[in-house]
Amino acid sequence: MNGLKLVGKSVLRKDGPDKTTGKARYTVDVDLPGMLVCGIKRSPHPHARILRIDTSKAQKLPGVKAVITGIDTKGIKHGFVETPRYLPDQSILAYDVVKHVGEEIAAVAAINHEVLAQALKMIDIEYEILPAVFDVEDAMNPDCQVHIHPNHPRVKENYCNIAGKTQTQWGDIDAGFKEADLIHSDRFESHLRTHGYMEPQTAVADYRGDGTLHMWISSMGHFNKRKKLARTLKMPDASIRIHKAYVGGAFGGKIDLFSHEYCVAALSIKTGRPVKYVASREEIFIAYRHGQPLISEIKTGVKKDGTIVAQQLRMINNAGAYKGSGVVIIFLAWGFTMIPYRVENFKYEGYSIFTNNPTRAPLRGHGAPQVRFAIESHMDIIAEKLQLDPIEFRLKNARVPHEELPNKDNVHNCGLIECIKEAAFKTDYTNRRNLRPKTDRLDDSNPIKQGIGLGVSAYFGGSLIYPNGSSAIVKMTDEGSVDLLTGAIELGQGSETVLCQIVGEELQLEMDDIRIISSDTATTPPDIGAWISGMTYVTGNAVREAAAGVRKKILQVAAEQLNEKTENLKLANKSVWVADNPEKRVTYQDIFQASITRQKGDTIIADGHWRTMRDEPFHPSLASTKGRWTENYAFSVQVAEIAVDTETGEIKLLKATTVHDCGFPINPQLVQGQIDGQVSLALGHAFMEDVMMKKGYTLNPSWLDYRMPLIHNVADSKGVDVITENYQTGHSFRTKEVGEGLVSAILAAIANAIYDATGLRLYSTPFSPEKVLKGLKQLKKNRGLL
Amino acid sequence: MICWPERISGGSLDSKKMKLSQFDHKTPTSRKEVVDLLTNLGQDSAILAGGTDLIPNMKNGTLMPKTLVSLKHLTAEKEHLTKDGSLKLDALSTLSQITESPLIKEKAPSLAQAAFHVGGQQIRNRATLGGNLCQESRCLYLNQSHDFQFVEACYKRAGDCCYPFPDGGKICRAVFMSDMAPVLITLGAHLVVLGSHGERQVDIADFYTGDGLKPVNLGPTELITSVLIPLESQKMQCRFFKATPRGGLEFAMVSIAVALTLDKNKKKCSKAVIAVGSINTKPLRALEAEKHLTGSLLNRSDIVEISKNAANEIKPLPHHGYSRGYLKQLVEVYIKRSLIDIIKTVDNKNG
Repeated sequence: MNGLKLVGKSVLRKDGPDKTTGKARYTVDVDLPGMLVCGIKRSPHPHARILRIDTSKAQKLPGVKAVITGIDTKGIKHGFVETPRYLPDQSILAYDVVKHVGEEIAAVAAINHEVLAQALKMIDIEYEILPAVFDVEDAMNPDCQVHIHPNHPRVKENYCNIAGKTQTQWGDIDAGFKEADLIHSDRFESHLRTHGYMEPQTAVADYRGDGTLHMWISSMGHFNKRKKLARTLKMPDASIRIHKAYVGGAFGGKIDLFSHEYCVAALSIKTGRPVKYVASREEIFIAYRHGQPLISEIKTGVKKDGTIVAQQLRMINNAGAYKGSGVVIIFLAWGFTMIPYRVENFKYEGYSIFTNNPTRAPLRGHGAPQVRFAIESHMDIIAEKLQLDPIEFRLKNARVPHEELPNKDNVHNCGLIECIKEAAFKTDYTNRRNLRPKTDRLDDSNPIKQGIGLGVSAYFGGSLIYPNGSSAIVKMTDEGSVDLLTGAIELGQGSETVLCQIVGEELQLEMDDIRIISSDTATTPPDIGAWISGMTYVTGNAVREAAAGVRKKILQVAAEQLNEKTENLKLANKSVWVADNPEKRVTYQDIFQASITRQKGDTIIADGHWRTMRDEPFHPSLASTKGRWTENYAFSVQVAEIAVDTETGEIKLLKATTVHDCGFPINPQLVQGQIDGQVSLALGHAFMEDVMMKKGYTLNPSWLDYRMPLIHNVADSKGVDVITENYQTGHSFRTKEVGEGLVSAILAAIANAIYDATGLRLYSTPFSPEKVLKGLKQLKKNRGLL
Repeated sequence: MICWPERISGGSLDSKKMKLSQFDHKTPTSRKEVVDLLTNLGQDSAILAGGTDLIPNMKNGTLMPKTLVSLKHLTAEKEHLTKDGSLKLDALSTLSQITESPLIKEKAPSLAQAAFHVGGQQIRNRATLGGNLCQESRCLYLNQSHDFQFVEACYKRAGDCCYPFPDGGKICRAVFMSDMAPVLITLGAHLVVLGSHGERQVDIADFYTGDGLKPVNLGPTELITSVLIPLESQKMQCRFFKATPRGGLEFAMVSIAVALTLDKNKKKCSKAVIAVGSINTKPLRALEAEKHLTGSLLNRSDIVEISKNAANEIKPLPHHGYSRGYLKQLVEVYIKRSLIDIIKTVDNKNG
């Protein structure tokens, strides 16, 4: 980072003062005059036919201003994926059959919550209860009598409730297995977790007399929301303005269009008054979208020397009642399988299956934790069977720089091998692992056993999903400071800080000289959104281009003013001077004035645009995986050091070491923040977070009973950056993602550390004390110790 | 006076979805007045002390009193030793006060420890001892609002079903989860109860009914005014363990309180009380284990056996996703650890 002014430095957060002083305004804080409150009537049944809806009593209740039901929204369909293969399948409000508990049936706008609660109770609905199915393998069983939706027409297999399928293969899988010295199969399962965003799902709509709809939404990308709102409301995009508000966390759970967002808009249009909806925490737990439990069946053929010669995977996803992102995760699961290791002969099948559970969303990592937990556990099992060192086994198969992947993507300056070596070195992995004789693992003298484990992961960054690219505008002000206009949304990840650092670097400004105007669909240019791990790369490069455009204009005007060639000029402290004659200088303020007076009134303003894989028209096929996916793969290796209390089954993550290849860190402290956040999220995944569901009903819909880690549970987390890229003023940069991939390898590392500590191999998450204890008991029985 | 929930929850009108129903709010200034009010109001009233248990239960609809009798204008007496050497605690003492009191830390350290393990600091600042002892019992199905799931009222909500035990007869098996109760049982505490019939003292061991529908033996006009912890408990070796999945801000999977009276050489046990909380509709005693310990010399190998037996005699209700077998295992481990810890202390003292 030599010679850089702001990039590569842990400058203070741009949103820090707002948030630490309580000035930051979130959607839940939006309060407009005459605002009505919205409530949603939801299904109490996991599967039922609606025979009759009677809203007449509710409508007559004084204080109720409007009620809408499925009749008002009939025919409008939306979905997380809206492609010719995966057509939108969700209604705004159900009008014939409800398919999960909490499904939206009617929406009410009332003057206050007391009236609203009464009105919701007065809506009378008659149901015919239908049989329901919840377990994913029961649902796909050909004999299943519950048909939630017709099978996907393009999947002709003898299963039920198929929402979608992803399949791909390369090489010759049969020949590959024939070559193998060892063929090993495992099955892993993951459980249901949720995002745990602090700010609830919320939206405010204000339809004004001029035909414009103003909205505030707790969202992850306003341009995607606007597109879906415009289409479902049948309004021009330009008539809908989504305003900026800070977002109190999302973690993947606030991407798609949600029914309540449409409903507040429709109710505001109907009543002519602002309408606000805030989901209760119970609604979020019971009716909204969580992550996705996956079943992973893996069969791998390996030669004695550790070369993987064949791998076959079958993934099954419990998608819930509608497709949601369930048909995306089976595509992504393939991707997270194939990135880190070379497998010449490969076959993959991923099934997404409808059940009568709530619809699913992405959750930070979107399949990677489930997949990497399975594969990295599987790798350790195979290494032990072949008596290979698990580090050497991974190094032997790891992708090397500039390797082309089977989908024609290139890993470019892939840092995986360096990450593996560095992680092993930094933690003295091999020695510490081998120091504990395996036979001592269940010796009862000390119930606390320590263990160390390692996992590998890789993640994509900034793929092609609507709106596919980002634009940015940088404009100079009279006094030589700048405004940055970007659609990027600040949801805690630090986008506003990082983007300002880039502008500051290009223009040699201080952070305070840059004002950021962000995430307002009327005033800022389109942005990819904070949900495909590409904001720093895609929006960052757009912002850099815009800043570079301003820089070019500054230099042009300065060159004229100073009568010098632009290449002889230097920028600093809001002025330009001649390199070998620093006395000869002109300030940005003067340059701005000169630009207006000498350049026929031109102010200094420039735009920038970026899109990943410019030659690729679309996202790859979700069904066949064909097509390029990304040009930014980030690799990571994580090591977990744990202690297991073998009497209570309780496990503590003592230390997490993350060695990762994020290209280069634009703000090292924000990178470390991402690492720590992901380690603690994974820790919750590993040990305590579990949405307990029984027959489609949620048993623990509260912060009390859904346990997220507390500060004292959080592990000592250490991050090591493997730098593979650099940043040069005036050039595009290729940074890699750091916000999602690091929830994954650590989960596998914990599983491998439990094995190292106790000899217990866990094939499912969470690693709850009860499960650990049960497993240890069984182990002792098997070994004749009980 | 009519109170709207916003005043109590401190939230703005439009952002709080879980609403309290409308209720009347009384603020008596003496304990006598409280009893009079309760006598006049009848069944539909509830006592509001710290509110950390009552308000959430009102929000989710488990409790819907028409009148709250607030104790906020009553002053709590400071904890002190009575003439006979008993430790007297006002029922209005907050759990923070109990955690921090030098006198309680000295005379009843396991009680201070149990208080510290309740909720978080903000909860302990509000929650009172009396409230903790009279808290509502808990069940995953019960402790959530029933707006659109579990809409049929269960027995506890005056309905006609039980979600976790559908075929279990018309009884409620919600678990009583006070952390303070098991400790007070081991200390032999008595509760001073004031009601329309005057004052009575009740052994805390007899205070819990085991009836999930009405877990405490407290009449509609009664309130606990103070807790008396006898002098002899101050010489016991007491331990408290609370097993939780994340170690804070939560109710227990199991809580264990142990109190042993040891003779002069500090090895022989003349009296043992073991109480297990958060495991059934009331705190349970490990009576067989107590019998084994009484009169015996403490040693580690016996303790392993005694803990195993204790786990066998304790009958847990599976609750909050924990199985019977797992809860038994926790009982065994934490009784063992409590007893071993006592041995260690004694060994250190002996030299």
